[in-house]
Amino acid sequence: MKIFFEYLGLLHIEGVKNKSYLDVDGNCSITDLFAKLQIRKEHQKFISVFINDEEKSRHTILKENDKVKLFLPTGGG
Amino acid sequence: MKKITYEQLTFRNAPQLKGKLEKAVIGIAGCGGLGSNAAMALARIGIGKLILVDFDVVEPTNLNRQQYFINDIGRRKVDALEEKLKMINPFLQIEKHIEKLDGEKVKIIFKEAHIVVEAFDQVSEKAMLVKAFFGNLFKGKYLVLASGLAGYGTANTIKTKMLSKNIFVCGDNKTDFLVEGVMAPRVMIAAGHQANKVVEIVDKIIFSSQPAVKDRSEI
Repeated sequence: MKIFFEYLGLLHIEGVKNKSYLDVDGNCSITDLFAKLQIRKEHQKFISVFINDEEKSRHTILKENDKVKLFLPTGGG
Repeated sequence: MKKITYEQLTFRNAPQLKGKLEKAVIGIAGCGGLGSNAAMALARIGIGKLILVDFDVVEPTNLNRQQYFINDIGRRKVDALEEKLKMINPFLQIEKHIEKLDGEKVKIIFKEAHIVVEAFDQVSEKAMLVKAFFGNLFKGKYLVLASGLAGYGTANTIKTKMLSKNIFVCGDNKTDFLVEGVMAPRVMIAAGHQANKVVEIVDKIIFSSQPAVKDRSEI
C-alpha cells in the first residue's frame, strides 16, 4: 500500500525522496517503517511521528494513503 | 520610573487583538536565545502572563543572541529577564521557575498556559516537550517549537509549519548549532516567528469567539 511520507529536521533518509509516496507492506507499524528506512537507533528516540496531523505512537499501524510526517528537531536556541 | 497605561503600550497593536492578548498565558520553556527574544516580543505587545522556566545563569557567551547585558552575567536568567520585561511592560504577570524541565514537570508548570514556546538548545529537550504534548493533559493547548536557526546567510528559509493540529515548528529545519553556531540575527528571526505564531493562535483560536474591534477610537 502507499503512504504519503515527509520528514523534517535532522533526518536524511537515503534513497527516499522527501514529500513523496512510499510503498509499505500491509500491517506496517511506525516501528516497522523505521526499520525499513534504516533510521539510526540514536535518532529514533527523538523522532516525533505525526499521522494525518495527529501525533501517534510507534505501535500505530499505517493505513493506505496515510500522511506520515517524521520530525527530528535540529539543535540550537 | 515613568508611568504608562496598558492602552498606551498596546496602542499600535492590531485593533482586533484588543481584549485577547491580556488574557493569554504563555509558557516559555527555556530563557536563552529563543526564549528571551520571544518573551521580549510578547511582553512588548501586552501579553497577559508569561511562565518563564530556566535553570541556568547568564554567561558571557550568551550575549551574542540573548536579551541580557554584561551586568547580568552570573544572574539567574529568569530573574534578569523578568527585570527587563517589567521595564517594558509593567502590566505583565510573570511566574518564574528555576527548573530543568522534564516530562513530568512540564505537565505541572505549564498547566495554566494556553500556548508553550519551546526554546531549548538540545534536541533531546525539544523531543521531550513534543512527547509531553502527546496525551490528554495538553488537549486544547498549543506548542510552538523551533528547529533550524543556526548560522548566517539567507533568512528566507526560516518558516512556520504545522506539524499537527496543536504543534507548530519555526525554522529552516536544517541548520544545527553544533555545526554552524548560533547568532542573534537568525535566532531572533526564529523567535519572532514563534512569537508571531503565538499571537495568531491567541487571536484565531484561543479567543476567536470575541468580537473584533474595528474602530481604533474605542481603545
